[in-house]
Amino acid sequence: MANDVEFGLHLIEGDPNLTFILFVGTVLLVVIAARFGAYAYMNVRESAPDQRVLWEYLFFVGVVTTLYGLVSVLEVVSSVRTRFKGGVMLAAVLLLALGLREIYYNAALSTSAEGRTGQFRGREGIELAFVACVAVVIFGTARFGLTDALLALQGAGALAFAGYGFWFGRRQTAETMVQGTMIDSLLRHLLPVMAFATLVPAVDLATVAGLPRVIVVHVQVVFVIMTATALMTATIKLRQNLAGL
Amino acid sequence: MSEDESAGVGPPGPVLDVLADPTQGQHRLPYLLGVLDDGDAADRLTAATALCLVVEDEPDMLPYVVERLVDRLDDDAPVEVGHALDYLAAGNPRAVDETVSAMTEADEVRARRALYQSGGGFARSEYLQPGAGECDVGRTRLAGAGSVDDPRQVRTIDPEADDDPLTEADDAGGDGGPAGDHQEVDHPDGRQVTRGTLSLVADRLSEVIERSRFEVLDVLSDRRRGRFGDVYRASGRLDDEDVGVALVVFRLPNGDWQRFLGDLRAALARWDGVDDHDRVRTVHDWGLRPRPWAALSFTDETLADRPLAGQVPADGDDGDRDVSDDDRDVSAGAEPSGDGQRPSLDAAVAATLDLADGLVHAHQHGVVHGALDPETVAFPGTALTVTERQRPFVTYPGITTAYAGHADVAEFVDPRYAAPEYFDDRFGAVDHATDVYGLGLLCYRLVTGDHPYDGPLSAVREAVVDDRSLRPSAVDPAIPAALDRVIGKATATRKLKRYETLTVFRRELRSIDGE
Repeated sequence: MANDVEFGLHLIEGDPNLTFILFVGTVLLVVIAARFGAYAYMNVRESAPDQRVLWEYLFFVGVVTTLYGLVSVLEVVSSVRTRFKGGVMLAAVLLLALGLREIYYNAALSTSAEGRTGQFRGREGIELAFVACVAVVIFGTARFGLTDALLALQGAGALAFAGYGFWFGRRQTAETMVQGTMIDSLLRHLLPVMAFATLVPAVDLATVAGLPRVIVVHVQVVFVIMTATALMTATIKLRQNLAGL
Repeated sequence: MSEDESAGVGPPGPVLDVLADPTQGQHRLPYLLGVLDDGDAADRLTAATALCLVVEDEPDMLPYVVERLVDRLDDDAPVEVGHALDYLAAGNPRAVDETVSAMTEADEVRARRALYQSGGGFARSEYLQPGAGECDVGRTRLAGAGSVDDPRQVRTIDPEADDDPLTEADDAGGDGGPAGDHQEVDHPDGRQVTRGTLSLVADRLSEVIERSRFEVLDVLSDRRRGRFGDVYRASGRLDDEDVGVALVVFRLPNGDWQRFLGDLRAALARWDGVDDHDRVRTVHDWGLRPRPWAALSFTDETLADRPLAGQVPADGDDGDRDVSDDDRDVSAGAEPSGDGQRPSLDAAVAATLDLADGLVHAHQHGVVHGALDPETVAFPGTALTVTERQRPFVTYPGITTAYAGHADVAEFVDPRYAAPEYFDDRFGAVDHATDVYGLGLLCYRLVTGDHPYDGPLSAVREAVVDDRSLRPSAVDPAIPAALDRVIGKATATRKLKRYETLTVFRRELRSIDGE
């Protein structure tokens, strides 16, 4: 199998322009997401055990987003085609949403259940369903390819995850006890990351609607670059927090 | 019993002899000092006691004994040497001071450092108070320990006036000798200072005065123990203008004091760089030789001098007390007296905004204060502003950081105002967020007229690191809930939940001020 892989320039959707832009955008994403993950990891290491959970979520966001970027780069420089990469970005969106939920539930950044307020019935069920959705998309696309059903599930799942995260984020930013604080600032930097990251897998809904694949990928590249730039500013907050630890 | 026979079975015979009859001790002084070098702990302690008794019996021996004790103050000096020196300084502060001042610089530094070490932990913050009747040796004031009727004020110095204590000292021919010592001068701060003392002070500071850029600098008071060292009132002429001056001679911490001087130089330079703001106390001049010093604009009082709300002056009770461990209590009964007046809500918020202005300016220039508490909030003086609101100054910005690597930082901040990061590493390092916290607590103090935390140190520590929200309205229901929110956010235990910057804090506070 490995012998079948050819290295060299492989055009995406047969379009040189798209390939070039995708390569530049995904390399940018790899670098910035890796940096984001590294700072999140340093925050994990420097934080007290009861404050680590938020940084752990953000660390995994960095790792998964980096993975998405690497896979995309690999598609340009080799014959490898990873149909499941949309599912990888979907996982990153889910992790971001869970990170925002963590900030909301746990203003004290404690993992103890008693420290949480505003829990609602069925939360764990919803989140398990989200995880199942990601698993189905990743393994489904890897096994069956980019079928309309799986692309629809991927797009709908991304929007659902984003809605879940935004709901918590909006409630948190509306809290007067949060406005102007460091956590508020971090939250406000993470919201655009989630918005742009969500649109990367969500745009595949257009494929289901009949839009040519090459146009959809063009749009996805734009959102990949936007995700990278939003991650870059969010990294600044991680650095600031690290400096204070 | 011969000296040899007594060895190993208790204090040597000659030492016991001196204890029994100190009047015969003068001839035994070399022997007693020798025991300090070679004896075991019990012998050294007994010998130190005997030395002190001899000096009490014959005060003329004090300089000799002090010099010999200071000779022994090296890195592994027996603790009994320091104890003896401390005892002698407590009983004869001026004589010991004169003896120490006459020593070489290195010996003087060593001696003063040993004398400064008589406290410990938070001992030198205003959390503790000095021993009754001695404000120059021992511990400093508790926050709010100042008397409200303290007549200290900024004076206009008239060069022609002949009531200048320093001039009087000179006129009296006082060269620090006995004649001058017995002539007392009514000092503007209400204490009586002898002319001889002022002359000695002027002599002691002569090198500082010579090195300063003041055209004239007259010392007007003996030293007072401040947080970072000794403080002298002075008047100076700078650029053809008379200015009131607080001359601070910084104390030297243990260890590598050359490195400390480098750190202090950087801190003073930073402070000097931000004192162009009208809410930051002015540094007229500063230097590092012969001892680190700074000539600051004179201020009449600090927030710590102001009485707490609801306190009733108690006759003969200046609030002094002496506690030195985790069980020390700063509960209401032990607080200093006052008339219980606190500023109006508007005035308190306005004062906080003034402090915020100064701190924002400092932060914009990369200077973090790091140890905000009532002692570091200075007020200009009643004589200058009779009818207008007293506007506070931020003082000692960044100085604590100079001491951070050389001494326990806890000595330089009132624990009741110390941020959680002072108590526990898991809350991170001291940085600009620490100033947000400190200003939040100062706002609480100004608004409520009370300390945010009180009680034994252990209880204060526990309360500070606990996840809780300070609510000034719990003290006074008239305080608006919006101020509860602002102070609650500023004083959040976790930095993530505090205001990200002082600018945001100030903006929200202003919105309350405008309501």
